Amino acid sequence: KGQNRGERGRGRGGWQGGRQSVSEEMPKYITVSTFAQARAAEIKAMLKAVAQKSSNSLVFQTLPRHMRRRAMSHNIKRLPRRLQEIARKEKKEQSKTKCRKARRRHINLVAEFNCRQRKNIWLETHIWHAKRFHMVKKWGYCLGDSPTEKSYRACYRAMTKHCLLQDLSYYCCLELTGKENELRKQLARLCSTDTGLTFEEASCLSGRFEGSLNLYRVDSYPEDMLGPVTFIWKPRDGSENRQLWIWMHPALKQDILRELKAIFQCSEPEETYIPKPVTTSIQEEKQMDVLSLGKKRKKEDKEGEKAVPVKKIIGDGTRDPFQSYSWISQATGIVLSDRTMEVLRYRLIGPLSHSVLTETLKAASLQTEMADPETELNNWWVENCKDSEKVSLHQRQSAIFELLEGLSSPSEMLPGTILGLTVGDPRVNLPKKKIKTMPDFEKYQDNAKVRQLYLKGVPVDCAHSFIWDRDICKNVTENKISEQDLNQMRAQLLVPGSHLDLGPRESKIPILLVQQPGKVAGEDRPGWGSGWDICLPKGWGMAFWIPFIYRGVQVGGLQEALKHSEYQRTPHTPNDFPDCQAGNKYSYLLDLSFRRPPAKRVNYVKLGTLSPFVCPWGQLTKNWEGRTKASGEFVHPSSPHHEHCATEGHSFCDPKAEVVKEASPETGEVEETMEITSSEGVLKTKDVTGTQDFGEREETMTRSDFIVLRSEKLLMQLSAWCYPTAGKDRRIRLISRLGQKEMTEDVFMPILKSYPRALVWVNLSLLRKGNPELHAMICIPTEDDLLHLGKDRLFCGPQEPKHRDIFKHKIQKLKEEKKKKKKHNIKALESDPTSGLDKETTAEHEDLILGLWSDSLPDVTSHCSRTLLGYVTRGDFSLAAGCGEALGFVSVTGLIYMLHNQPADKKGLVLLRTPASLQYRFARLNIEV
Amino acid sequence: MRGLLRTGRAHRCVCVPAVKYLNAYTGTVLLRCRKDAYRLLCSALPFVRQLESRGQGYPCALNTLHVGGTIRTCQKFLIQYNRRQLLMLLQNCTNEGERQCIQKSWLSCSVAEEQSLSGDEEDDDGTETD
Repeated sequence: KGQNRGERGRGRGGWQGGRQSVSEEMPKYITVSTFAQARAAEIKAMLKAVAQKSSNSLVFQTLPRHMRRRAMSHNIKRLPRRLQEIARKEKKEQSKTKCRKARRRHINLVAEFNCRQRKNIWLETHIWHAKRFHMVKKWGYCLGDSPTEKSYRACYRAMTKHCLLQDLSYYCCLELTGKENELRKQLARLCSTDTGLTFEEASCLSGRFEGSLNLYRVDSYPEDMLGPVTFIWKPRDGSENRQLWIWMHPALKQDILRELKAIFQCSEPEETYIPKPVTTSIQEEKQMDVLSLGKKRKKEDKEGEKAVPVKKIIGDGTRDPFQSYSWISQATGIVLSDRTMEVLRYRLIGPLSHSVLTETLKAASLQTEMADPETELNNWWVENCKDSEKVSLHQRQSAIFELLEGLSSPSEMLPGTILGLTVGDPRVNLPKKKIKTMPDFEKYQDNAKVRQLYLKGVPVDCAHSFIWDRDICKNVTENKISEQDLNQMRAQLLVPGSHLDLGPRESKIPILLVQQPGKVAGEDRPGWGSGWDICLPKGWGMAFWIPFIYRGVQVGGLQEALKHSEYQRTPHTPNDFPDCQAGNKYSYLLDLSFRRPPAKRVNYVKLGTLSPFVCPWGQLTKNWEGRTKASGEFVHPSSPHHEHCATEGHSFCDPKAEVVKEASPETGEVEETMEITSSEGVLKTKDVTGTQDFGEREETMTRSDFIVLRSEKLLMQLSAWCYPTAGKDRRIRLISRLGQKEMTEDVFMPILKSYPRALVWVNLSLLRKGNPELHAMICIPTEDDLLHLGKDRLFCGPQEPKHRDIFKHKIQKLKEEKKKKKKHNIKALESDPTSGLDKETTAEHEDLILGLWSDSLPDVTSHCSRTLLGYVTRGDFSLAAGCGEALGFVSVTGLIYMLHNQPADKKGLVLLRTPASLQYRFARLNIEV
Repeated sequence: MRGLLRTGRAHRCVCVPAVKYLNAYTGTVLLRCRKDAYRLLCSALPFVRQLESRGQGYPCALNTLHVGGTIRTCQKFLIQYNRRQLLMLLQNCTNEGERQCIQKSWLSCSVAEEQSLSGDEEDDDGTETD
């Protein structure tokens, strides 16, 4: 190869161009030393460059595919030898301070668990759940969402045929103690007789039944819903102070607690009531944790005996020790205390739940001698057994409990029946293998006692339980025999596997059994989903849980609870309460579609879906109100008649309705101001992540915009109107049975007047195909649709014509502008780095998202070809009904309008359309009371 | 380099080659361009007569030594090539002083040579060495 280098050291060769300044002749010679050095330098540089790893991937990732081996990252020796050195450097050292054995040692484990549950409360069954469930952090708790194994159908089957177990310990319990009259007087202001039960219901007040009701803010029914609660009065025991437990969902707790504090004027935190507050002990425990966590293990060993074993946190671990959880009112002496996590609550759903209960629990044996005079174990029970009256009560209670096995379903009991009981340690009679309990009905075939039980129910005095007594609960919690001791005792048995008889040392646990009525409304599947709730003192969670599991129950999580209420067609707390604050908070879901790339998202504007991710209840009711106002009257716009109606409305409606009427203009005003602020808010708060923005907007808008109709009388009326008249006399019979009027104008006009912006909970079952989804739209079918349906048996439903995306053009424009600005910005930055101002101006316009309505919604009712009535809040294929079923809210005004205009045999037929589809499906609308 | 192509041929500038490496002492240049344009660049390079800089033209001639798939292969080629050059120089040297000089420089680079070269592909851009 020739040496035709252009330049050589100082020699500058080249072609003789036109220029004479540099052009010279070819070099005649080369200097060996410089030539060789230059090459050597280059070789060196190149070698270095080649050896260098340029990408930031690991060594084994850069290998060609055919050289890859399994588990290369784990085992370095699987790499080619030349790369092993580099890989060894790359492999990170595992940062294990302790070996696994040390970490799993009980004391360390408990310390770690305590540390981990500082933020979110763990239930006592948490570890059990965490091994088997998808856990979610919700409402400040760690809760099991749904089992990891396939169990959708199994859970349903358990609910209908056997027994499904749920841990409801996260439900909050507020305790009110005080004089009965005082309590009743104030509590009456929170609820209304219109909606059903009140706290003063005689059967509940005696403590015989559990009641459930909806709470409202003081004197503001039907607005300002607080949420649904259940309550249990402690049976009268001679003293004039009564105890009341109010159980509620944790999402509602803060609101209700605040309201209760306000009406009872319980402002002062009260410390002296409990002789030894539990918080302090928790605090101590916490301190211990912190100490032991901070210490190294070696140090602990040195301390030896001194190191105090860390106790597991029982109860509410997140509670701030300085925050009081009990308040007293100076004026009335009423004490309000928060007993969340102090009382555990399990729910057994299904027809065999009582046989599981009777199998698992055995009534405590009587005991007259202390097992060990030094400990406090069972001292309350010994004390109790000395009183012959109490002994006989216990015997009656246990007799009734034994009889429960003879019932074929818990729904045969009166709804909300309460049975108090004291049981022995359920761990003692654990079966050797997991079995499925089956009741032995033969035994109770013609038992007069069983018959009497479900005719008369559980007598009042049997509702008494020691669980109401805090001292006893505390005693029981503290004197629990640990699992370890129990196992040791089991190991020492003479015949391995035989029944362990603890004798007088067996703990006695006071419990409370509460019957859950299941499905009471509607005609089909009465009593479906009935079961028993069991309340336990804290600390005994796992001791009861495992024995239940051994009786073959299926365990469900939050999803199963949702399905349970869906098949019962009851609103689920807190999602199905759009008018209470907690319900609002959870009404919007995080949009899954935003996880998809933009091209794969559904364009909801084209589908005519205005709000696929939230239900704009406020706007819906407002639009319906506007519609009625615009048309003046539904059919005959004759003004005198109208006035006549209005006056009649006064006479028809009870005094409450008048109050509402007077209040409504005010609310209208409030609402208008809300509107303005909210629209401003929309402009301000819009950002690129549209869903959050939607939620916020919704929240500001929906406050006190609308109410949910819960008055039983009106619901009955509406329900009767919804029935179609297949055989014409059926509805008339039904109406007469319910004592309702035929649907005429002078009946429904007053309802419209008094509830201009109301929603009503309805359930829909699809006639043919279709699987309704969340936020599906409930629409009114046109006459043609109904005609078509009547002619064609296979007619699935009409189609919505495609809409035009009016925002698309705008968005594209904005995009281009943004691009330009960006370019401009870059240039500007190069020249002048301080010009970042126009960036902000572009950010303001970024509220437009492709496929979503971005500015305030137009009239939601008339946007599509079929008039919108309401939205579905829960919809799925119902295993119980065998067809698609949906639950949701519709506007009362719209519903009445629809029912009025529909032919008699087609009453209650509506159309359903899921947000991501153009297809309408026929469904039958029902209101179950 | 833009200027290079414009002066070299009368066609439009279709590729913008980037100078990845330049050694004035050995007169080596590494050019990188898109793979679809490498033939164009190859055909254009022999016609380069001069390079312009700040209004001044420097006459030069470019000779393509190697066309590689990655910069890495080009670097490897440069190592081979320079080694060959040194060997040739060693064979052709006339006196003892020169021989020793070459051997010294040979040794200076061969220390680094001990390091193993890890062969792997990087990017698909055509690379030309001159």
